[in-house]
Amino acid sequence: MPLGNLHDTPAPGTIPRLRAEGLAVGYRAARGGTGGGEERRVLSGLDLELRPGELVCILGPNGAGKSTLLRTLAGLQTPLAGRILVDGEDFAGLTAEGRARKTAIVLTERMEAGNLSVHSLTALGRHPHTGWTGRMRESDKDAVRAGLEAAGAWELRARLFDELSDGEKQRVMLARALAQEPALLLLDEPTAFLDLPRRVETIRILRNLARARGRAVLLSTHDLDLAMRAADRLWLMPPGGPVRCGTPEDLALAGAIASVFDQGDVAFDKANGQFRIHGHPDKWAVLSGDPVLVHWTARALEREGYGIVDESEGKSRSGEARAAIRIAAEAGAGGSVWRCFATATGTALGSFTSLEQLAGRLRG
Amino acid sequence: MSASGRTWFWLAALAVMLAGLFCLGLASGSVTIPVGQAVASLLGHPAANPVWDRILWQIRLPRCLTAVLAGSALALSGLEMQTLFRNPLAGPYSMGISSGATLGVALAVFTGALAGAGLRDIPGVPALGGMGAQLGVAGSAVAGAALVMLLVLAVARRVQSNSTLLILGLMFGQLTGALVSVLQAFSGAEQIRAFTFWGFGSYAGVTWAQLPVLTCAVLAGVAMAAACAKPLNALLLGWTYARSLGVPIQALRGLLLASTSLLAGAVTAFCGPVAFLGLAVPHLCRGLFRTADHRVLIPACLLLGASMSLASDLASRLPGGDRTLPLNAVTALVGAPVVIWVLLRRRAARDE
Repeated sequence: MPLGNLHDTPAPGTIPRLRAEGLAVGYRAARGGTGGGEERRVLSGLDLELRPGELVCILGPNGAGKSTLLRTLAGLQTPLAGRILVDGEDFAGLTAEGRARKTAIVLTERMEAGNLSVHSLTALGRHPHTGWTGRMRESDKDAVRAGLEAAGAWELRARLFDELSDGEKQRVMLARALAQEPALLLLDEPTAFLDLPRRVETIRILRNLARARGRAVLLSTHDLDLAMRAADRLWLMPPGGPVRCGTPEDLALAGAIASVFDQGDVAFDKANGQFRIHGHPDKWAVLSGDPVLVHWTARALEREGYGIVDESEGKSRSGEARAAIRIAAEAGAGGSVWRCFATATGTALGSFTSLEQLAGRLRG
Repeated sequence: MSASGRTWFWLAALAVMLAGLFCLGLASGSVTIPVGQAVASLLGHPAANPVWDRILWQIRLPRCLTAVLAGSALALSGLEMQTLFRNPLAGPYSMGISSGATLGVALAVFTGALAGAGLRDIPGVPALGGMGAQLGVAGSAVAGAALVMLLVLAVARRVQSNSTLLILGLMFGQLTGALVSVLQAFSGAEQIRAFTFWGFGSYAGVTWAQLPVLTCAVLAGVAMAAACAKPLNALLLGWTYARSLGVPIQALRGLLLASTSLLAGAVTAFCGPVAFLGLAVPHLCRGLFRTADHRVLIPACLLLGASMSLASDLASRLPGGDRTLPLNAVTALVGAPVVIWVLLRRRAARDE
C-alpha cells in the first residue's frame, strides 16, 4: 500500500502550530542583485503539519534535506516556494524578531561561546522578547529558570559554557531554546553527541514540553529506534522521493521505513522493528531450541556469514538440502549448550557452552 | 558580592581611576603644576602662575582629552571586532584597520591638497587649521579603515580559521604599508617627515580646532556601538544562532562596520596608528568584570581604555622631563603581555 503525502485533517477548532503549503527548500546561488541565480531544490511540494502537543521526528539518510528543511522552518533560509504558517501566521509577513518569538532551533554544530556562563547563554533565549536594552523582566527571568530546569541544566548555571562536556552543552543549548518559549521547537540531531541514557532523557524532556505546554517539537535524528518509540509521527525522507508522514507503526507496517533505509547491506526487519546487517550468505544454518537463545545465536551466525533458515522451513526438503549446519540450542540450569551438526552427513561437530566457542569452531 | 554589585563597584573604581589619571595628566610634564592648581584652573580660578594657565589650556587639556577619546574609541572598536569576528585577537591594529586609515591619511597628505592638515604642529610643516582640511583627512582615514573592514569581512565569510584571518589582516597592513611607501617616494621631504612623526603615534598634536571633529566621530561611533549592545550579545552564539534569535544580520554588520571604521579611522587620523590598546583592553575588562555581556563591557572598555591611554601617555613623557618615548612603544609594553597571556590561556584551555 503506497503512502503518499498524508494530508492530515486537524481537529476542528485547533490551529496547527506549523503548516507548510507547497513548500520547496534548497539553496539559491546569489548571482547578481536581482535574483536570477540558480536554484537547487533539495525538497519540494511539501505539505506538512504539526499540531499542538505533537512530537515529530524527521528520519532520512544523509543528504535527504533534513537540515535544510529545519533551517527553512526556523527562518534561517528563505523558502524557494510555498508558505510557512506558524500558529496561523504567515512567516513571510513576520520580522526576524517576530519569527524568533515563534520558533527556536537547536543546531547540531558544536560551538564555543567566549566567556558566557550557562545562565547568561540561556538568558540570550529571551533576546526576541526583550526591548532594545535587553532588560529582563520577572517573566523573562522565570522563563530562563524554567528552561534551565526543564533541560536539567539548572545546576550548571554558574559554570562557563566552554568548560562543559558535549552532553552538558547540548542540554544548555536546549535550555536556551526552551527559554525562547517558542510555539515550534526545532532540533537538528539533538541526540547526536549523547550517550543512551541522555538520549532517552532528552526525548523525555521534549515529550513533556510538547504535552504539557502544547508546543510542537520537530527533530531530525539518525536514531531510528528512539524515533520509532518516542515520536507521535514520523516524517520519512527518502532521497529524491516524496516525504511520507504517519505514525511509526503505520509506516513500518506499510513498508515505508524499509523503502527509505534499505540500501546496501542494511535491511529493516519489519517483524522486530530493527535493522539487520546482512552480507550475502553462501552458507546456511538451521536453528532450533530456546527462542531467546535462537535469537542471539542467529545474530552471531549472521556475523560469521551464515544465512538463517527457519526451523519450520529447515525441515522442508529444500531447506535441509541448502543448510550446511544445524544447531540445537538448549538453556539449562548449568548454562546454555549449543550442539552443532553437519546436515549433509549428520555428524556432530561438537557441543559448545558459549557462542564464542561456536563461532571459533565455525571459523576454522 | 552579587554580580551586579561587582559590576557597579568596578565601574565606579574605573571612573575614579580615570579621574585621577586625568588630573595627573594635567599636572605632570616638563613643567609640573600642582594638581590642586590644575583642577582649580579648569574650574575657572586662574592659577598662581599665568604660564601654568596657558600650559594647561593650550597643551595639557587638549592632550588629555585626546588621550581619553582615543583610548575609549580604540578599546571599544577592539571589543566590537572581537565579537564581530569571533576572534580574541581581533583589534583595529591587528586586523589592519589602522593600516587602512594610515593609507587614507597618506593619500590625503601626499596628494598635497590637504598637506599637513590633521597632523600635529611640527616645525617646518604649517598646520592648516581649516575645518575642511581636517574633515578631509579624517574622512579619508575613516574611508580607508572602512575599506579594509569590508575586505576583512568579505574574507571572514569564507575563512573559518582565526589565525588565517589574522594573517590576512597582517597582509592588508603590509599592503597598505607598501602603498604608503610608494606614495612617499613621490613626496617632498617635509611631508615625509610630518608623516613619519605622525606614524609614531601621539596625542600631543591635536589642537582645540581639531578636537570637535574627533569628538563628534567618537561620539557617533560610541552611539552606534551602544545601539548594538544587545545584538552583540546574541552574536556571541555565532551568526546562525543570532539570526535564529531575530537579529537583523545585515543591519548589524553595517552598523558595526560603520562604528569600528569611525572609531579607529578618526583616532588614527589625529593620533597616528596606536597599537595594542584596542586588542588588550577588552580582555582586561572581561577578566575584571567576569562577564561577556556587552552592556557591561562597552562602558567598561570606554573607562578602562581611556585610563590605559592616559597612563600610556603619562609614561611616555615621564622619564627625564624633556625626552618623550614614542606612544606606541609604551602601549606595546603594556599590550603585548596581555596578548601573550590570552594566547597561553587559550592554549591551556584546549590542552586540558
